[in-house]
Amino acid sequence: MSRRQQYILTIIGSLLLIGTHIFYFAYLREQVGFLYEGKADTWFQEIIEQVYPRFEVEKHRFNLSFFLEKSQQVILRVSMFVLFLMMLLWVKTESIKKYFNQKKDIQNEQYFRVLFYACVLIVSYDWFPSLLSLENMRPFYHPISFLKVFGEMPPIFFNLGIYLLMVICSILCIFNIQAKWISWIVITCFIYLHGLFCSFEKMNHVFTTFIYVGLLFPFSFHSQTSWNIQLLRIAVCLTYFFAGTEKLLISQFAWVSPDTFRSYLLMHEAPLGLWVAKQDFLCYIFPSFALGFQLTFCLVLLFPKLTKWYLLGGWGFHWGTTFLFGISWLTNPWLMPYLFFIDWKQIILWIKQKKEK
Amino acid sequence: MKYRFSLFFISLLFIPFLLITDFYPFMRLGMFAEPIRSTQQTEVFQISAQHHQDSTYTLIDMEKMGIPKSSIEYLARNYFYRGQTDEFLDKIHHNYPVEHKALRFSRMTISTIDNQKNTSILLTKKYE
Repeated sequence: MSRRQQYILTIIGSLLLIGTHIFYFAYLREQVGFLYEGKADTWFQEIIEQVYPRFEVEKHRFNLSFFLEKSQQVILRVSMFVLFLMMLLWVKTESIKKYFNQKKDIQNEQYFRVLFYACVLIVSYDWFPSLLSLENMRPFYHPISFLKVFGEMPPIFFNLGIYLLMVICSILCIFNIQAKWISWIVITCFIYLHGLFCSFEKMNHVFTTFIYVGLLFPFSFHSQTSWNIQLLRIAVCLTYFFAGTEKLLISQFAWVSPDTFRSYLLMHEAPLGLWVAKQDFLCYIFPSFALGFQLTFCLVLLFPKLTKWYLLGGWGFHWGTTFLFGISWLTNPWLMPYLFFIDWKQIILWIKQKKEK
Repeated sequence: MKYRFSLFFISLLFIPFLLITDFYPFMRLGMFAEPIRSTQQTEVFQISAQHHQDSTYTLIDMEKMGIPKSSIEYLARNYFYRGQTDEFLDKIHHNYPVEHKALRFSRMTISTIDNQKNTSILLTKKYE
């Protein structure tokens, strides 16, 4: 990109930034108030229905200031994003190209393939009975995202068929049989089935990074470089970064206060959590660690030597939520994308050397 | 191509964060983000049925419908706040396997100060 184009795009970005703020304060903020009273412009009401379906429920629970604060947050975040894009314009493209064009490590990608598709089987091992029991919830089916296309909840035999297809395709991927194409079927089925489980008015975020890596890994079968592995690492890092930033933007530093953490522990009533709730020092240390971990996980992209420490920290963080809050389980899907950060080839070599000695 | 796709994918990751909502399969990670607000009361939604043999209302056993108790609680809350308690009771009526002549949707508030419970009947529907 030429210097001239960089300047032009920076000016456009700045105008966009100013324009967004003028549009918000001159028009949109007022519309939020009208929306709360059910009198907003039709186009705005329709957008909110699509983008923020929980509005109708939350309207009865929160006052107007909650929604005004939320709308302000959206403007703040969009501004931050535009600024981020403007900064990207001035980053040397050579460094980005160098990052994405790293040589593909065929041996390591074989380990990634076997381990990832084995993980698909592990995390979905109980989905068959879960799909059967989902039939009882059919009257309360409220499809999310692309599942709206189907209208009604698809019949049970169809869902079970999709599950069996996913299992068979995962096994074929493990043995590298037509994995180039079949890996796409696995992630499509996975997203469909998980979407189905989330279509009863409750979103489960436990598979967030798992789905991202599942979407990006199949590119490995079509590429000569490891750009997709680099991209999926960015996706995992960004997810942690967003989770940490979300806490800072919503509750500022109140989140690291021992009282907030203690309240969460008492709310979940896990035995270890109740013990920790009585320890002031731990109630201060644990949330600070969690926030610090999430905000700085991205450092593994810049300093690969830190990776093992962050992966160990992440292990502690996710198992911590299991023991302290009773949320999720030990085979936590948040941990599985970590396998793409590990140099398996080196580990196997190290084990072999140990054996020889 | 790969740079454009990478930029596109990263932009998709940003969308739930920017708009503070989920765009499945791209999700917002706002769980545990809100500071705890001290509330003076908690609320529990209950569904009870009047069976043919008696005139009193008894809490219905959701396990008989094959629905976990926790699921029915948040569904009841959502239907209530959307003003759809009528529709909610109809759905229960069609799926509750035990014969009944009426269903009742009630809300119990529990004071966090003195643990005092207050139940208000929100809707009663006859199905005869």
